[in-house]
Amino acid sequence: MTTKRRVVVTGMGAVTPLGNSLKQTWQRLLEGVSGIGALVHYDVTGLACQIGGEVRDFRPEEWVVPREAPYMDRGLPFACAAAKEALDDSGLLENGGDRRRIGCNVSTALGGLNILTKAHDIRQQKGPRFVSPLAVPFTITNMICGYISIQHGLTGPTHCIVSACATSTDAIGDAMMLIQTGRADAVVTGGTENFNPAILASFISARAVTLTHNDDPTQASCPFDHKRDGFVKSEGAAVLVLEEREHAKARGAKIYGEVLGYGAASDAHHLSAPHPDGEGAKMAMRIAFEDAALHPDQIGYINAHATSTPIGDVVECKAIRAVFGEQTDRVYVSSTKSSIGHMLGAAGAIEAAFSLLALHEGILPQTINLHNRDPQCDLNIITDTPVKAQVEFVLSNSFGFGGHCASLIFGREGA
Amino acid sequence: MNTNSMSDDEIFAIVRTSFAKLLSLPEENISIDSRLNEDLNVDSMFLIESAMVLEDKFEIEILEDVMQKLLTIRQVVEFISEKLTAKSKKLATIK
Repeated sequence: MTTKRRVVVTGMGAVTPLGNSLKQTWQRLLEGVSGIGALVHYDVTGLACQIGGEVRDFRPEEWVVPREAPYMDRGLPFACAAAKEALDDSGLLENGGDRRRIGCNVSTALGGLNILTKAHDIRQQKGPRFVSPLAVPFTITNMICGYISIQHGLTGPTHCIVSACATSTDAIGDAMMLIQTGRADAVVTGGTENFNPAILASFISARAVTLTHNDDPTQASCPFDHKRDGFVKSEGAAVLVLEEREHAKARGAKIYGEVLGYGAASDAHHLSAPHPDGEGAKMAMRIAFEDAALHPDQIGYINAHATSTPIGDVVECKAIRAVFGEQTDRVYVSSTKSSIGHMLGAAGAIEAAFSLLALHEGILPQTINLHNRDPQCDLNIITDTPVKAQVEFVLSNSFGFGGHCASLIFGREGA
Repeated sequence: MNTNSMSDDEIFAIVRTSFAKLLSLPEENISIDSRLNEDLNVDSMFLIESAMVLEDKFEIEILEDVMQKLLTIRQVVEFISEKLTAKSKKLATIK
């Protein structure tokens, strides 16, 4: 019997509403800071929702070919900055590295939609001859991983998975499988997202985002609280370097943790609403446990998807209770979206990064803005301040429009 | 802007500013003898993009196959100059 190649995380990076590096983001997360504020970078005139989590003080031209910067959405340079931080952190390319064996699958939920809407406006106003040839490369979703592979000369597998808010959790699962099956020795993985005012308008029409916190944005994202009434859209990127364990150990790399299990399933139920009993969520968590050969009693912390929507948070709580049974009241749970908002295609990756830092540093982040808990959200939720606890295994959930459900299990190195 | 009676120096000034902005380069990096591909790193995408910018600035049409034959800033300026001369002659005939 051949043993499965093991996969570890050796580098991480992020650009978020809490900071332009993972280190700063993590520090501010633990301080209980909210990254949500009035939207200033995008024209949201007339929209019922005027708030979100914007990346601040970010200069795109520092992270991409400067002449190309005006033709692309911010999501691409966010991803490039996070990938650079993650690769530098891992040291993977320091001594050359065999780039044929390094892939990239950083993805995004929506793609460069501001570029598409701009091309549409130019076609109407000036005529089709004036639509830029660069509109195609900078609209397509796969240019995120394409661009990063060009920047670093990574010639291994390069593609992307798109599954709405589960996008980068699925990306990490895919990266894990590429390494396990020997198709790559390392994969640069994760997700990115920016705002598009038309999409925000559609989220408003769908009553998916909160419309009641334009005057107190830092309170807007309140998962598990009885007053929650919709998620808060955010932007940013998070990138992880996944690497085959022996490959990492041979070069003496720092290891944040091991990627032990990945579960993916579908609700097969509705365009946007989760299955009322969380069938897909339960299945994704159970498959992840099977994949990791672990049981719920071994998990010390869950980074919940919990976006602060009335239905979604309750369904996830039900699903966790169904899977964890009597362990439910013991295991620590938090929703870091309370601080950072919902980064859509980047949500899974930033939450994976938080989960790994929790393992690595023995600090479990809290849920802010939880003042009056919805009795239906009856989990052991960390509130107010972080909990110091050395846990061995953590679970991170992500669910997306279309019924996509994905779960990842990480383990502490040496556990 | 009246583009019909421009000198080559005036055309060059506008061409240089346009390429500098398009390519995120300081103007002094662009000379009349700069080669688009070798010196300014203009790829196929930015060649088409530059044609669009120049069409807009000079109110002329630059077809893609023509633009591909222009290899230096000098050739771009000469091409625009000829186009503008032809345009003003045409206008004179109409008047």
